Amino acid sequence: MDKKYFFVWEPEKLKQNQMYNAFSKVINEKNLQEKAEVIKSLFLGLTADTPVVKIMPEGNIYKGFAESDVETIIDNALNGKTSKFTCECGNKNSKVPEADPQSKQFKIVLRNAGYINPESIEDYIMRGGYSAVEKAVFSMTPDSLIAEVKASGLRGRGGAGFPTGLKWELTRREKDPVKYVICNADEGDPGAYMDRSIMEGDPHNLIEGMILGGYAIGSSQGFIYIRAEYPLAIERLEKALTAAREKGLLGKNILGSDFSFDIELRWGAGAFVCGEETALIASVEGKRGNPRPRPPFPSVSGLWNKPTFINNVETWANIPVIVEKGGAWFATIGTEKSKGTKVFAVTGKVKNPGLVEVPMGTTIREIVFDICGGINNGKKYKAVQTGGPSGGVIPEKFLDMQVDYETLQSIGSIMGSGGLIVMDEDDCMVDVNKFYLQFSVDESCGKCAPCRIGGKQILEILEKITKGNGEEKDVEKIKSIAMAMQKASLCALGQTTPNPVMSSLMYFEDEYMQHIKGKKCSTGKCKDLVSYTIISDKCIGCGLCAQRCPVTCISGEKRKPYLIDQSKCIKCGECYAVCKFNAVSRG
Amino acid sequence: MAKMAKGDLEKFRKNYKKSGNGEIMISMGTCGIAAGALDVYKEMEETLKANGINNITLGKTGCLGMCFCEPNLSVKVEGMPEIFYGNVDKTMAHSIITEHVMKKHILKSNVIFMPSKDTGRNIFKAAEAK
Repeated sequence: MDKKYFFVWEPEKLKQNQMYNAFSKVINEKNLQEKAEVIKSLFLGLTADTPVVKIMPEGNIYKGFAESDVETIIDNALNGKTSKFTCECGNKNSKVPEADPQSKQFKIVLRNAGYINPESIEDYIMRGGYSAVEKAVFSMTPDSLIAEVKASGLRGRGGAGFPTGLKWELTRREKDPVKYVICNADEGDPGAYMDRSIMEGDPHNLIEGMILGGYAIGSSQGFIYIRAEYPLAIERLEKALTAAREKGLLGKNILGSDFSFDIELRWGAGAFVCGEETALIASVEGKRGNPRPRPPFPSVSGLWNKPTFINNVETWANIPVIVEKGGAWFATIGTEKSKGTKVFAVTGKVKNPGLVEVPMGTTIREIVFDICGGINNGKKYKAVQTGGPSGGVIPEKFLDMQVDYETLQSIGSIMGSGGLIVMDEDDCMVDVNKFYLQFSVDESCGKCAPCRIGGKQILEILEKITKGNGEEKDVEKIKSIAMAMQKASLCALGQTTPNPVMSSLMYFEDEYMQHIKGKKCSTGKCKDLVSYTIISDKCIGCGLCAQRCPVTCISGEKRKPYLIDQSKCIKCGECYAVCKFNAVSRG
Repeated sequence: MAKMAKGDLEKFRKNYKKSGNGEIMISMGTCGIAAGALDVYKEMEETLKANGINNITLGKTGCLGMCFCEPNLSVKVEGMPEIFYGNVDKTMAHSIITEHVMKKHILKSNVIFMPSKDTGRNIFKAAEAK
């Protein structure tokens, strides 16, 4: 009989190793070492507030059991029976046989990342790679390929969510004999690293997707526009391209057919605006990365004025699976209007930050609390920012909202490329938005006035507010500048720059008002609005704060109340954090 | 290498066999390397060499998506389930070779479990079955 493995996971706050010890005690007492082994697991792919055990090789997950139940669980498992503590994880995709019923994640794009050697084309082929190219080139017409992608309901993963199949069709319809395919790998949102991980972990996946795109629209040349800040991704892509060419999977007469397609890399110098398609095309051409007005859209006149089809890395990475499994299969995953999965890079104040791929329609609560373990250090959830500097915040009341393109838009945020920054009660909304605004102002190309001047003006107002000089009419001013930017900017960068401020004004106006009217910042992040004082009644004179103070501005005698010299204080908050008696007040 | 033609992919999958009877895959995206995966890789390489083990392949892979426990790696040894370790440092890297690989004892700490491990394979079930 196969050995059973019990993977035990316990939440931090419980007594450490209680269940683990219970399992090993039973195994040792009954002399089951040959048949069973207990393993303490740091992570099981799901988190809960009670211990969880996963039994392999069956894969049963149990939770909500007590120490006294451990013996029964082990006995049942060894006798091939299940116990009554089955964990209901509520995966919405149980109708898709490929989904793991006990994990909320579902990996399509990341199916190989972390499991194969990205520098080995053999590994990729062994996992079914390049079969989609073979299938398409020998048994599908370009039109049936486009029909398949249209049936899948795949939408652009760069953020705007334009239906991919339709975009392909529009480009195919153009009469020009020369057409181009571009992959937008200019990932620049703060906190986003989905595309980098795809390129570093599974470069052939992207290449295969692009070959299929080239076949569909009748192009023979593709470009990957990648930022030079991703040296490892560039290295691995170059290796992958060479390997694919050697095997005859790329280049002239792919797999012996009469279809030829090759891919070149183009390095970007790391300008955020070059993620915008018209600016990106200019940059690929070797010109300054400035956007231009649309129409004409790139599908009509793009690279060197030829019809050009441009998509994001994650979109391309979905294509091989769609071709292999069929559009109808893909369309069973996700919500009514948003199909498939989305990769999110979860960062910020969360216990288990990481790259997660979930089906569309998963709630923010499931992503932040069930998969990523909730907020760090037991703090309170405040908001998540999606879409980076072009997106918005999702406050607590929308935690149970299903994530897809439409719902996110309806609450003033956007899907974006997939950065998901979690903020807790210690984050000041005004301060966070100052950061995003600063980013957009730095990255504005300066071609059009609304973006160049508007962004700077909003930033200055925010700075004024965080310095304690805010006036009530400032909020109105922000709103009117924002409207002008959204209406009149040339490209998406300027149009979306005010989004974070507008969205936080929608849900956290109180906090702005606290800064403007009360001249206070309750989180202590805006240093000009905060002062630290020692409450003499509570101070026992231990001197810990004085030891910690980096500028030695706290003085006093042992066992007597201490005092902070306000003229020297740099408001770092160390004393506030270190005091065990709550004797330091912040306000 | 010869260029592939129609049907060659299938033939390749049938005939390809990985050498050795075990595999260690270290997550080495930019993120993993920044967290110290390169040191882990070197330590493992040296330990394997020092103990004269040459049937275990030491490989690099991309980001597994588990940023909170980088560097991480997977160990597959014949007759044992595939185990993922997280927060691996040099000392642990050493004992993974001396304990897990050589004595077939799973280390009692730092194990993580990847639930979606096989989803990717299942997506291409048709290709895998042969």
